[in-house]
Amino acid sequence: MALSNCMKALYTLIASGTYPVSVGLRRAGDSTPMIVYEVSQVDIDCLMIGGDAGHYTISVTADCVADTSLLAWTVASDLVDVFSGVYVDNAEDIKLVLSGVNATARTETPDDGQSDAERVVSVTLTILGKEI
Amino acid sequence: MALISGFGGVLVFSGTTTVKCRSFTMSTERESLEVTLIGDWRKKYAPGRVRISGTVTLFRQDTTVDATLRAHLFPTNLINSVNAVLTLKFTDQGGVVYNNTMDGGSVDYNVQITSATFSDDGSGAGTWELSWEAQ
Repeated sequence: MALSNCMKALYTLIASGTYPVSVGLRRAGDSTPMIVYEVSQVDIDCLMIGGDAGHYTISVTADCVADTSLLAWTVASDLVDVFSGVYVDNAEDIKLVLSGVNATARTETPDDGQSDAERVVSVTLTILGKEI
Repeated sequence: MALISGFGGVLVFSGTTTVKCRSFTMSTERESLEVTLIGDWRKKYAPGRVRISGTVTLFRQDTTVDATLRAHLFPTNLINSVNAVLTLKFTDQGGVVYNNTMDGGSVDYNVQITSATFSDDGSGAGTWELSWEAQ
């Protein structure tokens, strides 16, 4: 359960920022700016005896989508800011801390034949999580 | 005949079976004593005494395990320092128990920690990297 608790705590933390958040997909018609994130990998520390030690290294790729480049970077900055210090989620019994960040920017055009091009800042976060 | 795996062993660390252990190693060395006599045509050796030592990697914990370890590593007076002792027992996946079998007994090894390292480098789980030696 601790792994799923970790994912709930992660969503709660990311969604605590200023901008709307979606996991994995962005539906047509969703307004911008918004954050679309995906957990790309979780490394789970295991005990010698076998099983989950309750410590996770989580890689998250978050696309910060906006109409302008500056706003996309503002969304990315807001996302990084929610990870200030150690986040303690007492409901899920999880602590999260950000241990690494990198970002790239690009332009995307929705393939619907009518939307304008969008700016996307893709932020890759390395987050350490542990059971309390 | 089943093989014994190199995982899934159980460490009892100073009486605690629920210690969060990541890995364990144990090695034995025996001195070889030369007992050659002047009339011998070749060198002869006899088994000497055994030294048992190893390493253990523990996840750092906010439990009595870490408190016990810290008390061992950072004694508060000289008497505690020279009498520092922890105990270990290891049972491998094949059910074989490694403990002190000398003198007809079967008790946990009394050990001392000869080196201990941890770091807070922000990159992962906190661990103790310990080297131990049987007393």
